Amino acid sequence: MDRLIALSLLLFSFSCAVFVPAERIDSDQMVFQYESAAKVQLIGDWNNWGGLTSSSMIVDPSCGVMENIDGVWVLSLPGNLELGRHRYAFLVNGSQFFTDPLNPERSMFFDHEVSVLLVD
Amino acid sequence: MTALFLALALVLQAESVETEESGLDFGLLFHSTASADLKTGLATLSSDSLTVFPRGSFSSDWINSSAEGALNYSVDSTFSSFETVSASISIRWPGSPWIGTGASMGQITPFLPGMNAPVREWQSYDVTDSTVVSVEAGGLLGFQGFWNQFGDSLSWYGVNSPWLGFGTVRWNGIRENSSELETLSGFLDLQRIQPWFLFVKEYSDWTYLTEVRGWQPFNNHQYSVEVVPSAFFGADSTTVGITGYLHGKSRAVSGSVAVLNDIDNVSQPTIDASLDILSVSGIAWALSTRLDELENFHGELSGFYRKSPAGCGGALEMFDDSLRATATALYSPVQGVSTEFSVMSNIDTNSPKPGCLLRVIGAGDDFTGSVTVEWGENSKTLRMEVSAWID
Repeated sequence: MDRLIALSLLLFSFSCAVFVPAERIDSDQMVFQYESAAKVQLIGDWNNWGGLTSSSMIVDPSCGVMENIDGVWVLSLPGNLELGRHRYAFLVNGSQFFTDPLNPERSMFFDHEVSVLLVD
Repeated sequence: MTALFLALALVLQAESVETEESGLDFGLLFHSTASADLKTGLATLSSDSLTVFPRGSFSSDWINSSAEGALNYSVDSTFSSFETVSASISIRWPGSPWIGTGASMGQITPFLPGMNAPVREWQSYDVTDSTVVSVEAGGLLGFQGFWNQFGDSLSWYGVNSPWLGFGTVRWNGIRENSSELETLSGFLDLQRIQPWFLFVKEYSDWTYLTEVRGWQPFNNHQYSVEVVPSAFFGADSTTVGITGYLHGKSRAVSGSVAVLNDIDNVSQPTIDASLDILSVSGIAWALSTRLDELENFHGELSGFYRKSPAGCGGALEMFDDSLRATATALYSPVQGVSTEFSVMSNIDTNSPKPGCLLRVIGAGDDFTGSVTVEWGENSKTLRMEVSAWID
């Protein structure tokens, strides 16, 4: 019986560590945790997706570069965003699109699933 | 390969390029790629190219101008060329953010934002004449209007309202030859709820989308749940839906469940669900599923440990009857450098054929470079890519 209780407690502790949400970083900036990334860029409709919508169709490596603070990438949004909806994504290592895990609103940008920001 | 080394050499000399601070800016965007089929050897480069985009701009209180060109260099065809990619000039009434006019080429493409998806995506239109004459005017009660004329075939115009105290509205239109598309979108703020709306008129057909935001039946200091009814009224169909959004307020979690139903086909709803959790232990979990009209299923579950310079994780992706698995490991020995190793395979067959990817990425604020080796059952390729901005 003691073993069963101990095993249950162990499984409960394990599931808490593995599945229970961590404390959300309190910030008025965009944040994205990815410590093993070399670079994260915040691209979206407001900056022409880093250049993907321009005639060159190449991501400008200096566009929307987020600052790495102990593995958490942070960047302030532009202050002049128009009212309405804006799509965005985190571009990791210059090639991989990630949605914002703290924002449940989703849309598509060509073949990529991206996040949607409501400015109201 | 030659082009790639040339690009690297230019990147390393970046600090010698001076920047002027008198409103005149100049910079260069480099992009270079090289790839080879490793089964036949490094000598068989399938592509090797270098593109340099010189960019210049001048701005003052009343004038903005910019120009961008492209110099292409390709070893394969010994082809090199220079072309003007874009150029623009705009004049603004000093002290006014609203009144201005300008002309440009190759710089903007029409885009009509929508609700869940854009009405017209960037580059939906094949703009044959990229020379644009633009006029912007506004200030009257805060309204702002614009007109962009692309050659003589395409016009993009619109009026945006300011915040009116109870909402905002935006009218947009695109006219191309004989086709015309207009949208009217915005939202109202009625204290507890916010109705968002979008009218789309194409030819003589109207469609109307609406959703009501802001209703939160559950809200505490850790989580809130927002329930959003929505409706789509088209010429041939009417769809109603309801979506529940989970927002983590003090917890790193978010999610949604949506049910959409065509009222002519009530027995076959489309169900969409997603959940993202960053757990206490640092694992980023993501689950997304979609069941189209109770027939076509797509689901994806992934877990990735991201809270250390050495991360690893896996993903399972299911399309109807097929199942694909990916395992990934990343390691960042120093800031700005990352190595990635991935193995992916279909696992619903008796003889899975895995594919592998090994990538080394180096990146800074102004450059990104990568070397990738991919190999599978019948192929083995090497790719190199460098992008850099020098100002």
